[in-house]
Amino acid sequence: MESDAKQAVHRLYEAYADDVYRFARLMLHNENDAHDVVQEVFYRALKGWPTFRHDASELTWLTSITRNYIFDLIQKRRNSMQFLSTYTPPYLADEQMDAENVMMIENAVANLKENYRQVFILRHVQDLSVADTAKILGWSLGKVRITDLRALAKLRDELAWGKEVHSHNEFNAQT
Amino acid sequence: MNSMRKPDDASKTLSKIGLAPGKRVELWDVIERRIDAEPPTDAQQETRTTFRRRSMWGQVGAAVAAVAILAASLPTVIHQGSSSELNNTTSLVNPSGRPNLDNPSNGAAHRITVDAITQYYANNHRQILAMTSYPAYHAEIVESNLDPTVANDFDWWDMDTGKVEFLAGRPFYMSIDQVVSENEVLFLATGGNSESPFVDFPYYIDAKRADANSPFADANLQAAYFPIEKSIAFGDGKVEVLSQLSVTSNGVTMGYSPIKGQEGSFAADSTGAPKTTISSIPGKNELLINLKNTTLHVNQTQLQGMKNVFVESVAAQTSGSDVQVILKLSKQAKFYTGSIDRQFSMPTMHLGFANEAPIKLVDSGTSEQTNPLFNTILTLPDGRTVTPNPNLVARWQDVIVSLRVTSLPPAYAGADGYIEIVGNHAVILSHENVSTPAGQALLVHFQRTAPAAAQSNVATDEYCVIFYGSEYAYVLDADVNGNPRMAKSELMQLLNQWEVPNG
Repeated sequence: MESDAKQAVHRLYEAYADDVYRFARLMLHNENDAHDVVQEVFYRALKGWPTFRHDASELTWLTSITRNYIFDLIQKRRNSMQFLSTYTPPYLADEQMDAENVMMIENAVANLKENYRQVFILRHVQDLSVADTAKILGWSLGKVRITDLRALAKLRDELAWGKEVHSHNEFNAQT
Repeated sequence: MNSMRKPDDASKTLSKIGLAPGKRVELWDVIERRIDAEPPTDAQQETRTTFRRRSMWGQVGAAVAAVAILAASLPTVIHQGSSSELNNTTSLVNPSGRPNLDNPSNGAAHRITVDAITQYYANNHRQILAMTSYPAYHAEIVESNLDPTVANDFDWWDMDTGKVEFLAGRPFYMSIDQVVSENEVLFLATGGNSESPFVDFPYYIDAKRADANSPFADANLQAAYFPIEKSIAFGDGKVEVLSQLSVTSNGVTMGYSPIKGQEGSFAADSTGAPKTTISSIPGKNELLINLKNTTLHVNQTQLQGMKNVFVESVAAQTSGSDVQVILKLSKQAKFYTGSIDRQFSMPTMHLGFANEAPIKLVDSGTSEQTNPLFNTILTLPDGRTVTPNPNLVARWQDVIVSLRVTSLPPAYAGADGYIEIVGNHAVILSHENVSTPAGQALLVHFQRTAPAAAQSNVATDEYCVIFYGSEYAYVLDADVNGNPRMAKSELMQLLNQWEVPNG
């Protein structure tokens, strides 16, 4: 029989595993790293469950843990000068979607600088409120809004300019 | 295609990304296996730890009234063994990182080594930041970190059984303040939290368990009081207006509101306080509260006449981009505490004062008056003090020292009376007279073997210094924990700072 904490985390996993994975994948642009993040985040959630005070929503709490861990990974990547070198198409809830188009969009998001990327993902992909985003990032509401506007503008440019996937050597598709 | 190349469409597309069903199941299996592979300590984490912030405004009286002492249970038996024994025994960790602790053959206790503990954390990819021995409880408290971006965790290891219990930790940044008993450890939290940007006034986290066989399932948040002279900084760096300043029965309350035109931004930050530094003004009995990047919007005339038993006057002024609140204190104000209330749209910060240092309560102890003949104290060169309390054990260089007051040996024991004080399982190596500020004492060097239940033939190197008073014997115990050659000379130096009562 599952303990209370394990049961609670299992429930969180069922509800939010996709959100954690999506955030990790779009921030790290690496399928395997995103899977590792999912594992680590829910493991940390179990460890942290006794001290989770429900000041924030469960999704906000999980996203905060995810963000902390992702930034640690990004830092380590920087230190070891590792760069994106593989691309694995994601599983999509809508099978009608054009995989190539998804790849281009992911590439455009990958080209955003970190602050823009995380705000865009949290606000528009994860559909979190400005207040929740501010809480997760530790920013003011104003900073979230301004960064969001700039991120959207930059992403619009990236998409409109049609920066082609094939022009980026580090973005070689694996099929 | 072009229609997809708009941010709105892009976000819709990306929101469809999810874990493939098979991968979802596979990942949970991995997580579950990892959870199940956790050592027994984590089983207790699954018991939900409850955090309660006790009222800090009515605590002082009760705290002051209760004087927790251990006089009623004068230790007459020396603890058996110490952490230094553990260095030479065989590692008890299996390849999975889980300590090999269970031996169902006879139910006897198994000791665990410091090396085994170290290996355990290494196998779990955790960095040990500190390991502190508590020989009186046969325990080690380990502070470890899994990820530098999050706060540390503290575990309690029972060295006799190898059982490990999670004490407290993430997401609160904290340090050990006091090991009250084997069932209670008090931590001082900085106010910071690795999963939120809020920085509260420092507070205590009191980790407790019902008994030695239970997990530390309860963690209470308690107000921490600091001497007026001590500076404290907290707050989240919000840019706000100080719009309310009032006195309460035992302190002051400050309320914050948004800067005009930035109400929306304030809403996101409303649950915090501006960066605040509290410090005493040298030479004056005044407290300066500096609120960073804050605007003053308080009616000065309302401040006139504000006072209570601790605060004689309140003044507020602008200093550059900061606001400074100056409290002129009465002689009653010796200690202060604080808290930030974020439950409402306008955050408030409360400061409370007290004239006595609230004494931390020992749950299991009864309040009794201290016998002055038990007032012995050892002051370490770094200023820490040790008193005859099994909770107070200090490591100094190569020795772990503790104090006890015990009965005088029976007259019939004669010159060998000190053996009674040294206790069981001890092989005396030497004894000699030494000088202390109180007079001549006896330095005994011995090796102590573990009790039979420990199934260990490892002996620890220990010293004790015995000063015979008229009614009690005062004992300074010193377990060698490091270089044995240095231990004795270090202990001799400590004797100069050992005070025992007259009589």
